[in-house]
Amino acid sequence: MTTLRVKDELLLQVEKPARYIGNEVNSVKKDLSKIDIRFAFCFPDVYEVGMSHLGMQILYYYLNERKDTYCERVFAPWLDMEQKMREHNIPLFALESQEDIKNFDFLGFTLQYEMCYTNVINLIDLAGIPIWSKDRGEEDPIICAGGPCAYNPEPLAHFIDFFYIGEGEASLGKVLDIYKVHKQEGGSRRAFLEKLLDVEGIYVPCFYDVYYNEDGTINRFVPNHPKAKTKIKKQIVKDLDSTYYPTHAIMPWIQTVHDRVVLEVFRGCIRGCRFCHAGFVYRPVREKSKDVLMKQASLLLENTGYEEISLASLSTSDYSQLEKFSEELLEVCRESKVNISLPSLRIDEFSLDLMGKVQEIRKSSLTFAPEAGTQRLRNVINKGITEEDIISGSRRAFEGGWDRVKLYFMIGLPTETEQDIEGISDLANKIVDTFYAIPKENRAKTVKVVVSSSCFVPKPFTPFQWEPQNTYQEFMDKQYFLKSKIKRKQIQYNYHDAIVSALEGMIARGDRKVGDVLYAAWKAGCKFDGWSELFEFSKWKKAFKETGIDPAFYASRRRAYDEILPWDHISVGVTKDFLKREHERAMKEEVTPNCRQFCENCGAKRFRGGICYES
Amino acid sequence: MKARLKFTKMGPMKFIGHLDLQRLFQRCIRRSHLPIEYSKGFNPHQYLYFALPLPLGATSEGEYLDMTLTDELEPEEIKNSLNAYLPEGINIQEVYILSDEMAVGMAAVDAAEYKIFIDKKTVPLHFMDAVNNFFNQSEILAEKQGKKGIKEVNIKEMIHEYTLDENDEQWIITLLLATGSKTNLKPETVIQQIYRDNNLEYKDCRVHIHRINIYSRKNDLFLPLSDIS
Ligand code: SF4
Repeated sequence: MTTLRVKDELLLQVEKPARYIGNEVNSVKKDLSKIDIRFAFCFPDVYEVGMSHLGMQILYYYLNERKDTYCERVFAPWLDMEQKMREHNIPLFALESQEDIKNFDFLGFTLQYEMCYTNVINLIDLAGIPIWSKDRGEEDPIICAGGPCAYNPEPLAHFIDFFYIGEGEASLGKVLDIYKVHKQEGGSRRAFLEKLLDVEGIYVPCFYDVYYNEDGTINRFVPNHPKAKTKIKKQIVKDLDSTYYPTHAIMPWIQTVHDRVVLEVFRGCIRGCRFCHAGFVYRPVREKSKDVLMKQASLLLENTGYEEISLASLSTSDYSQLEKFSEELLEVCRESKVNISLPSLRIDEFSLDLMGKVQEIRKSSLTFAPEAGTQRLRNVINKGITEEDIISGSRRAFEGGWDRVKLYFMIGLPTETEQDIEGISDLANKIVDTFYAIPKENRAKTVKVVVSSSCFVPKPFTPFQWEPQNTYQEFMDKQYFLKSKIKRKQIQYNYHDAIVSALEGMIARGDRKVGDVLYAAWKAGCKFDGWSELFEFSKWKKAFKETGIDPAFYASRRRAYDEILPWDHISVGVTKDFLKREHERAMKEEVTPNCRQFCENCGAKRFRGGICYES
Repeated sequence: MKARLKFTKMGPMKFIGHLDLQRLFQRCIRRSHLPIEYSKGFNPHQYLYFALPLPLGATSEGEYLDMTLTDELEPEEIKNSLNAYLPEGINIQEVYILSDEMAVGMAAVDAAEYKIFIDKKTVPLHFMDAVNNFFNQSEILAEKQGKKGIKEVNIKEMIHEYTLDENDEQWIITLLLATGSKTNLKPETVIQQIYRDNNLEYKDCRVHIHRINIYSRKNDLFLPLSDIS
């Protein structure tokens, strides 16, 4: 039996001790004497959040496929556990071997959201490793990071030794191959990072210098090493059918956010909603074939014993073989008594029918994401959903017995006016009216329409990357305004405190100087900033004051098209020209057709795969 | 057919709570392809009956789980197919076939036996005398968590047996306590009261509770659940 790193007595004093014991069903155990590379896969949030993350499960098994590598998991200990660890001088350890990760070869962080950045810093510190990469010595692990937020690596550039830009399964293996030889030959840390300059998709921040203009914008971004590339190209897998996909999933000890088998159906999105980071950075769309999906589904269910399977993609309805695939999957699941969960469906006849067949969500709530209250603003953001779609979808659903509708909106979208905000409550009203227009005997007794609004955060690599974000005050004023417009008791309005979104907006488009704020905020005690109960803005304020950095410069400033953006040295395939074109169209309220209707030559074709080559 | 499984929960498995243990079993049963009976209708689920939840932090060598299977199987077959999928520390020791008219799960439980391990270094020298005195009272009053908050009750009748033992490092108290749907005395309640009576600070993380077995009462005899089938 594995000896636990933390004594039982301490574990019994913390909440959910099962977070820290490892050894779950399907976790990987390896003979350490046969391992060349020890990799700590770090998820900068708690166990339950990290274990729900598909990317982590994929990369965990992908890396462990290699005989020479042992990939183990690390999550952020919850506050009570961190306190115990600091009190008793227990450095951060990996779940599988329960050994301290400061002795590993690599720490790999996955960056899923900006609000976990102070946790990244905290984890490096908890591991007992110098926080700034320049301070690390030959004995310290190499610290790398990837994931969607790594497409703007600059805010964390001071802390991370190298970034991996793109999908890990594509070529992370190359890095390990190089490292293995390097380790055998006994080269220095710097020599290894220099070798990485030959690898596509790797960004080593220390080989680049940034010069600023007096107004704070970037003047020049220049390599300081002859081999450092001027553009770092995103790495992706071209063909999802032949790409590695795990047939197992680690069975978490405790209930997680998504406690089920997750089957990835396709990557990317054909739609091109102009606010959506994922929609641009994951281009082009690459689908798995139906047969491969069926095979993966059965293997995963067989090897986990889960009673539920969920289909993952940005927009399930856009899967080209959905009809045939759902039929077959339903068949298999009925037989083995497995529930199917179908997120991100567009609500049309087919989907409603499908949802009816999938017993589990029968007659629960229906979800629409119109994102904006008027057609004009929906055109600006290129959200191809009309009021008619929503009303008729709701009507059909109500007639089928549903009695709850959830609507998701964004506040603070570019060009938004008071009218657009009022449009949100108008739409909710119309749905309620639609319900009552149905004869009593053909519908449920009462209806509930839940309106949720989030705050728009402009993201890099989207057509809105040049747009100013609303200030905290503007967000709050708009939310109160909307609140005052919603009067009927059938409508419930949910909104969040905008302060976290404001901060997220600043970090998302941050440069290297934002790293100083992150550090100062961490010093002031910030961690788990994504957890509203732990978020303390006063600490961030202190950090701004200390570093002299003005968050408004990053969040609420309009950038000129010719300004050098902090992420300009990263290439995600989609070109700046295309983004500019899309931005101009947005201002003209013009919609752009989706990839299946018409190829707009966004630039993603250079990957030579996926939808751009569908005929 | 109905089957009763006796299993262990040892080592780090003591950190897994009762609900999580249930889910773990459900999934291991699915993987093992045991012909378990499912509920009918939407959301089919397995009917599993655990005899008595174990507190977080306690280990056990005598846990029980009842289930209904749709086919006749040999006990050995059930045991082996499940053990192949269960994690280290949870191990099916024995499988018993229940007669069809047997009540399953909690209904059969009347008592449970525990060993309590107390580190000698954490208590004063004369701790064991105090423990003896505690159990020898004609009336043993303890603060018990009732439905309407904490109240003081006489638990004398609920302690069927106690013995004291020691090794080099630990005092070991063995307790047979009334438990089940009607009366339920938790080992923590007893130990906490001993500490309270002696003005000692009780930290549950320092006292290890280990369950030995669960019993059913038949004609004044306590029979392990495994003997009732
Ligand atoms: S190149 Fe064309 S088809 Fe390919 S992702 Fe871009 S717009 Fe879509």
